[in-house]
Amino acid sequence: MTADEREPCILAGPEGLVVIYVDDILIASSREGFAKKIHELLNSVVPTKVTGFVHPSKGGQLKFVGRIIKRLPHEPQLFISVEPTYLDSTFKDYQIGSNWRTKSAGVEQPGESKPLSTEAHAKYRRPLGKLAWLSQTRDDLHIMVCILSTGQSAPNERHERALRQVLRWLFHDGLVCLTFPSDHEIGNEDYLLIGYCDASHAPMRSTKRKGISGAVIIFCNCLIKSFARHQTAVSLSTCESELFGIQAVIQELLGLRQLVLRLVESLGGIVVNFQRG
Amino acid sequence: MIVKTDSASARHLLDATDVPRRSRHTEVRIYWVREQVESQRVVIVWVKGSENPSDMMTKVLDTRNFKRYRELLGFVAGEGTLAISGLPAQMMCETPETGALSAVRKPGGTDGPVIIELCCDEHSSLRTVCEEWGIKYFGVSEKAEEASTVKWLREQVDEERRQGAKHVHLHASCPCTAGSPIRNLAGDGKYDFRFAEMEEIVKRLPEYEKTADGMSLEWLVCNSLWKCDGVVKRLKTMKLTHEGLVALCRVGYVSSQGLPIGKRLKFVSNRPGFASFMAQFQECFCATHAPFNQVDWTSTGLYNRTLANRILKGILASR
Repeated sequence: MTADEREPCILAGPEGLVVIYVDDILIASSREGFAKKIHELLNSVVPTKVTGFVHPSKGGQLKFVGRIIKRLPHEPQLFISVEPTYLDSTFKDYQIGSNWRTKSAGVEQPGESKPLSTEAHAKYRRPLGKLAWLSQTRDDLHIMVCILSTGQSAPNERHERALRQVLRWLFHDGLVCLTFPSDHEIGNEDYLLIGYCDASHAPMRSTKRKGISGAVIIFCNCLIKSFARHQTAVSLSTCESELFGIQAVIQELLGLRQLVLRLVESLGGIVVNFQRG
Repeated sequence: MIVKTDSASARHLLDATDVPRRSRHTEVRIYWVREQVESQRVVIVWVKGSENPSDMMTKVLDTRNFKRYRELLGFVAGEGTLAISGLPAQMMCETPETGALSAVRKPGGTDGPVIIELCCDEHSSLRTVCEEWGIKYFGVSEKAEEASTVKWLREQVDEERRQGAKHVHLHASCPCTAGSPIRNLAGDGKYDFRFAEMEEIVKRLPEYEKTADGMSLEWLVCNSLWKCDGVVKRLKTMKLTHEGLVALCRVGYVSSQGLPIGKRLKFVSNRPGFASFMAQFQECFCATHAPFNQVDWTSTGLYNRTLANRILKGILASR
C-alpha cells in the first residue's frame, strides 16, 4: 500500500483503500478480512474504536469525520449525511424553533444597513463557519454560504437577517442525505470525470458586481465535488464570466483526475461497483 | 474529462483561432483552456441551461428549480428529520363554505363587481370561483408589463362600467418572483440583485390602479421585494397600506404526505376591509409543518380553491 503524492492521507493498494483524517480512519475493500487485518494492526499500536461497518448485503452505518455513511441491505446506494444534531446549538443561539408563528417576519425596520455590534459580529461568524462545513456534505448550500460570507468582515443587519432565514429554512428542511450514486442520470459515461459549470455575470451590487462561478463535478453518477466562488476580477460580459467558470472547473478537474487515475491504477482497474449486494 | 457548459459564446470564443480585441485581458485564461483542450484531456460540450445543475451554484434560485437541481444531484430526504420528527400534524383548515356568497350574487350579474387578476395562471382558481358565482373576471396571464395590455384592460373595464358595474377590484399576485433575503444584502433600500421583470410590472401598477376602485397585491411574507425602495414608495403612493397575512396551512395547502405547508403570504390593499378579512387567516395552529422536500413548490405558487374563495369574499366584503 502506498500513499498518494498529492493526497498523502489516501492510501491505496490492490486490496483496498484507506483514508486517514487526523484520528478518523476509513477502510474500504472488496474483501472482508482486509479491514479486520488493518484494524488489528492498528490496535496493536494504539487502541482504536470501530464506529461502524457497512456491508453490501447486510447494510450498516458508520461515522467518519462527522458524517454518517449508511447503506441499506441489498441496496446499491450509499447515503451520506451529517449528524442530525449538528446545527442544534446554532438553532438554539438564534432561537429558531418549530414555533415560527410567534416571529413577526417581514416587519420593516429602519436603519438596516448599519453594521452589527462587535458581539453580534462574533455571533454572525460562528454559524457561518458551521454552515461552511455543512456545505461540504450539503452541496446545495454552497451558494448561500458564498453570498453570506461576503459579509464576514463587516456584516450588517441584512446579512444577519438573511442568515436567520437560511437557518430557519434549514430547520424545516429536515435531514437531507446525499445518495451515491444519484437516482437521476447526470453523468455515467465510462468512468469519466464530468464537470458542469456555470457562472453568473455581475449578480449583486453589494459585492461590487463580481461574478460567481459555480460547478459540480460528477464521477460515475456521483456528485464528488462542487463549489461556488466569487470571481477575482470583474468581468465585462456573460461570456467572460463563463470563461472564468470553465477555467476554474478545468483546474479542479485536473487535480481530481490525478487522484482518480491513481486510485484506478492501484485498485486494478475497478473503481466502484454499485451492483446489488 | 468532460466539461459541460451552457454558454455557447464562451465555447465559440475558445473555438476561434485568435482572441478578439475586447477580450485581451482574459487572454491568458483563454490560451490556458485551449491548451488543455488541445492536449485532449478535456472536451468542452454544450448542455441545455435548464439541465445544468451547476446553475444552483451561481445564484439563489427560486424554490422550484432549487429543489429540482438538488434532486438531480442525488439529494434525498433522510429517514429522520433534522429537527421535527414524529409530531402529529394538527390541521386548522376550514372547509370551503359556499353559502355566504349567494348574498352577493345577482341574477344576470351586470351590476355586480368586476375582478381583475394580474400575473395569474391561465387556469387560475380565482377565475373558476368567479365563473361559478357569475362574477365578471379578467385575467392577465402574460405581458403584464406592456402598455398594450393596460390599454386592453381599460377598454374592457370601461365597457363593464357602461353596463353598470359598480365596483372594480384589481388583484395582483406574482408567484414567479424569487425575493430571497440573500439576494438583497446592500441594505440601502435599493435593488441589490436585479429583479428586472418585476420592476417593470411594479412600474406599471399605477396605470393598472387607475382602472380599478379597489386594489390588492400579494407576495410571500419573506420576499425581500417588500423592502426595496422603489416598491415601498410605490405602495405608499398607491395607498396600499393595509396589510393582511395568510398562512397557507390555514387554507388547506398540504404536502404529498398530507402535512400542512408552512408558508405565509402577505396581502396589501387600499381597502382596510380586504386586509382585515385576509388577516383572519394569519394564525396557524399546526404542531408541525411539512419538510421542505415533501412539498411540490410549483403548486404553492398558485391559489387553491379555498384561498381563491377567501380572496373573493375579502373583495366583496371590502366594497
